[in-house]
Amino acid sequence: MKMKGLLGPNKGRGNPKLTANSRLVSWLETEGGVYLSELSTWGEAPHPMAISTETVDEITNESSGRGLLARRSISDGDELLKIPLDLCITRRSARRALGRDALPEDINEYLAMACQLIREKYVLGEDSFYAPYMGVLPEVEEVNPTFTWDV
Amino acid sequence: MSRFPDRFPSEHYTYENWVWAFTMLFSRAIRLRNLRAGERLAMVPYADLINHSAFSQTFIDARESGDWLFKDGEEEVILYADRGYRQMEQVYISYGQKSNAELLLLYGFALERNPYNSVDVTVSISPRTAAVVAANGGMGIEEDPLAQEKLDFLFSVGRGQTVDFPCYADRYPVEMLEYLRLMMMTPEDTRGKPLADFDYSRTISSANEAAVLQSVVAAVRYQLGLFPQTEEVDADIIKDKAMFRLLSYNQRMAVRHRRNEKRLLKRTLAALEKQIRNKGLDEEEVLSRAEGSTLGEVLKGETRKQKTALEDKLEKMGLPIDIR
Repeated sequence: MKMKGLLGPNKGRGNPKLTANSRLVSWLETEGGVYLSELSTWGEAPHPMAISTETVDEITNESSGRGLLARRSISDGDELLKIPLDLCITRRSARRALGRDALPEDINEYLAMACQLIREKYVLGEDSFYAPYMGVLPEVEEVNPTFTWDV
Repeated sequence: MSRFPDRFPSEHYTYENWVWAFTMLFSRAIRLRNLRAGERLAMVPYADLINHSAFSQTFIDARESGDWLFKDGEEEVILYADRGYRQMEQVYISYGQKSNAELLLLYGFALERNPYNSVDVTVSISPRTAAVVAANGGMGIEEDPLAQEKLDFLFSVGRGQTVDFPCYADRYPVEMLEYLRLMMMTPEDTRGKPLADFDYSRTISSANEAAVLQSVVAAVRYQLGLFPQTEEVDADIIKDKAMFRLLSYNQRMAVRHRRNEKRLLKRTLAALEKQIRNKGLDEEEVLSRAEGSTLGEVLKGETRKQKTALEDKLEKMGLPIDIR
């Protein structure tokens, strides 16, 4: 496994993918109080994982895009991460973003969340609160699900 | 949505952007349980960077944050490791038990060894009612005296004449057997009793069972025959590493996927044939009756309207929407 893409001091300046990674990390830390440092501190264990911009699937040897690597050895049952629900995209966050009058309470969850995703990425863009998260989401071509394949 | 044009500007809510949004949701959204408000679908930043492994048992869930002394009323998403990882090893999470077709449909990849892989086998039975016999006039199809009763029974339990069943590498569903046992009933089996009185989870009679297994064999053979190339051809394509690399990513995934489907169907076929032999259902006497009752039942050339995969997926999620 290559060690490309690990975040460290001053590393990754200029590489857009690495910049996006570090933007996401600082957003999680400041907005969500998520502890992602590799150092331990009072009451916090060091965060066990690091973002890698390029990973390779062990079995097929195909590129699997961004992924998380173990920064140190991890034991069975260890806590991997903790993210406040407030940073997540849900039907509730979608209704908050687009208005409860526009998205009724019983709206399909996928539909509501799709509305919000389009708003955060395309309508608001850099002004979006979620911009650092949108910045690491792949394009359709990178995911490449068959329902988008041309026949 | 058209009521709020200022909040849904049409230059941004385009078909391409909807496709992007659903691609993100299908490949990354997680269903959280244990929330105060019950279940909820969520896209969780950071957690969704973890790649999938069918062998991972890592689960993701939500809980109220803080320890039992300091509950702050906020909820958070939490993830625990399901096994140990060495330093620098990639951490995996399971996206749920998905077949390769689903993985390819939603996430753009297929796994070489996937314990949850399955292939849908279509079983379609046309009860030989007087009308069907007339339509196939002179083809040697006999009318099934129980045809109408079978149709009524299927209707009453909410099943149609054509049913898709998932076949896994090591098992096929009991529901398929139950369905076929019903369809293969003859007056010899019922002896005048109503169809609803039988327990289809058990063998009805050896003749009935032979007919059932033979019709599954026919259905699986038919499914295999729909592929233009054989499994051996696919295996050769994959084995020739230099050539295989020249194919595009999509082509490589597609070849792996279709080969695995064929392998799985062949395994099912072998298992069925073994079962038929073991139960002694291949004896002349039993077979003749089986022959009689399978007549023209596995419909050749199913011509059901094909939906696109995305339409199908959206419809199953209760979203019969036209995103164009």
